[in-house]
Amino acid sequence: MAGFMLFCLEGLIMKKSRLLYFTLPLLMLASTFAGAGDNSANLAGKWQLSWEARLGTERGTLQMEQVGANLSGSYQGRLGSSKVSGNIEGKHVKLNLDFRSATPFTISFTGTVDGDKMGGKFEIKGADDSYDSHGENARPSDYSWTAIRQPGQTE
Amino acid sequence: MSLPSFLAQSRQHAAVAASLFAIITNLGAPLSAAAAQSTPVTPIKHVIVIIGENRTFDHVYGTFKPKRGQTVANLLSKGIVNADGTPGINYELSAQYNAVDSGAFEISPGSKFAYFNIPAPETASAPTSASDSDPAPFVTLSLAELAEPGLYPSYNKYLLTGATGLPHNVPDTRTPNVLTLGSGAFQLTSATLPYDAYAASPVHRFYQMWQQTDCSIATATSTNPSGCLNDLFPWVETTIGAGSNGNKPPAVLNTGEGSASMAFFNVTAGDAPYFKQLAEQYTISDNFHQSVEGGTGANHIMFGYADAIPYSNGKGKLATPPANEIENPNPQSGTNNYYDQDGYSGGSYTNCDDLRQPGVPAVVNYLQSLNPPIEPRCAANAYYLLNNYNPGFVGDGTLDSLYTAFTIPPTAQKHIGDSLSAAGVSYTYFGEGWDLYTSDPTGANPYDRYCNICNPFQYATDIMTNPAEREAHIQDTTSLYEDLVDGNLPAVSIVKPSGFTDGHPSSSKLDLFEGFVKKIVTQLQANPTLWASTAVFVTFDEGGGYYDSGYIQPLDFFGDGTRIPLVVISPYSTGGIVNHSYGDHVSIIKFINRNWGLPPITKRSRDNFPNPKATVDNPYVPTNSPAIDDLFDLFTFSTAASARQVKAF
Repeated sequence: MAGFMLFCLEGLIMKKSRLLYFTLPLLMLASTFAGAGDNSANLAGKWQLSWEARLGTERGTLQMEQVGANLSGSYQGRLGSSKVSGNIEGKHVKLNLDFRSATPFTISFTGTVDGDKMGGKFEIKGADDSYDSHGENARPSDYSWTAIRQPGQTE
Repeated sequence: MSLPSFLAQSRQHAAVAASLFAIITNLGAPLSAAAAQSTPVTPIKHVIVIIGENRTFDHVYGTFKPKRGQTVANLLSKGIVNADGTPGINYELSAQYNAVDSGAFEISPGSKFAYFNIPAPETASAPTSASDSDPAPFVTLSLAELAEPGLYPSYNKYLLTGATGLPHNVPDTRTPNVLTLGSGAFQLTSATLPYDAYAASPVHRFYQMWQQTDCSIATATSTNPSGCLNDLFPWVETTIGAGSNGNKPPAVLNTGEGSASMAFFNVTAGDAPYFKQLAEQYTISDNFHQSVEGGTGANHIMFGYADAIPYSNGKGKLATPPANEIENPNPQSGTNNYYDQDGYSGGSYTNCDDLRQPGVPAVVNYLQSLNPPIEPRCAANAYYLLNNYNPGFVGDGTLDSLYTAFTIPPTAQKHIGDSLSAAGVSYTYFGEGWDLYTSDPTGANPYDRYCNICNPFQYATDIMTNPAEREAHIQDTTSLYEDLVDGNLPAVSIVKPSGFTDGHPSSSKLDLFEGFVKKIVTQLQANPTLWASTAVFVTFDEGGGYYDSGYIQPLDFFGDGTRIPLVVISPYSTGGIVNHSYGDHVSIIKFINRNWGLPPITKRSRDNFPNPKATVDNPYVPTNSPAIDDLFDLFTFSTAASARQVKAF
């Protein structure tokens, strides 16, 4: 990506020097963003997601696509299916799982990526203490989550 | 026949079929016994047991004034408080103490000195604000009504209200004079903290409750032979709270509770109006107790099994749990009462037959010191579950251990359902939210507030591994509402509200539990045939760690604990009577046993205990301890009286 942009820059300097003052700053800016995308992990593919819910470990499958820093896709698990949205900056990932039903809710995951694994903490969006403040649970959630890339699922 | 009616009848047919199956396959009884359905010996053909959460008798009925001719033992009658909730002439009877326990665990530690002012009650994790994504309270009424269908309609609005407006774990400044409350009980409600407000939940775990109630032979008297003083509630709250999960104490310890335990509602000043009305119209007990010192799971188990459940290999053989799941309430070195291993994901099992086990000597030695000595009734090599671990199974009958390590293995121990099935008596556990939970066993959906640890049958192999048994005996409360309309009510219904409406402090409110009960009672009374033959027992799983001034009778290692409310609603229990016979959760099992001619669940279960005998001048203390009432004396079954009461409806 960076080589391609330098090639374009040379052409512009030679053929369209008048545009240099306008295009160079824009291209440098674009180069900066493109470089960030290059340094970010590629999360596209299928992941096995698990998180510590109120009464135990919840599990399901993430199918993700990545365009630049933006993540999209779907989740499928016992809770049902949901739309997935999020982003990646370097190793820092954010994912939202939107469960649409008569009583909708969104679970927000934040964490870091390490190769074919990622993990961190989650919350019910808009909640301050999603599970623990509600009566008698056998054990409190620590709001942790992990995801493992499924073999052969790198895109 | 309407579809709901058809479904209801189908469920009952399934229940009968499941009962027959249980008789033939599980119990080995002769086939002829299946045809001999037990018939009730009273006009009560249906029992509905509704179990709320976490309120003591004094917390709810502390200022209740019975009708003329009746007496009650509560904060008001003892002069601890006045009718307006201010300290009474005998306020010091509720005085609380600081103490020191820095060696081995003690249930009655020394170095006590009275608080001049109890530590300020705090907010713990009571909800700060309303949120549709983290209810309750909710923001949107239509969403709230969708998520919570169990309320009498006029109570739905309370799903939106009552958030504290305060951060977690700070002094609850809605309480007037929060820093100078004195040394004892205080009224929870005020102009700045209305009845419809969320508030903190005090600690209510096994070893903590033994300490809160502070029992010792050294303080025993003729009127209080167990010597329980009920004077260490704030000390336990502020020194250990809800457990440490084996962690070291933080540099600055704040359990977030303060003295939340010392709060009481004032029914005379308008709190709990529906429960006050029920008490004035029907019959209550002022001597009914949580059956286990501790919390939800252990108390619901004692209700269903009339016994505690030990750890096993899941196939009926006793086993030793992992080391980090064994309770150790001994204080950590250099601390005052900060337990070594205790908490929701920490230790929850105790081998109480082994005096070398941590915590055990303090309780057993106390029981043995009483006159007469009380047997701990702990089987050899049995590690009993004392607090909340997930039951052996999730809703579809798979093992709960697939989802979390903190489960008690499936049990083969006999429960009240086995007794009922053997006698051909139908029964159903109606758990609100069951249908959603069966597809969400981890509770990942924030609207899933089904209580898995509350369902005694979810621990049982014979129910949960048989789809027909599960379907017949565990249903959502939506089925109960259909049954009340159609008249196809099982003989025995055990009803559990969701976490939204169970009345548990912090996560629910007492007015929401009132609304849950009112919906069922109203529906029942709208069906005259059912009403004429049904008794509703409304009670709580435990006192929730709230202070209570009543007598506690030690029955064995596991309890009893503090008094809890019991209201008996039927045409045969009218008149605003206050009954004083000593009872606990297992008393309801004894009522069922006697009404349908069932034997005790097992040879050692608590329903073998006799009915209490007591002196005229002190009806609260059994002279033949251990003894618990079968509650028959809360009813009037004479033909004339019954006819009059039914007609009165």
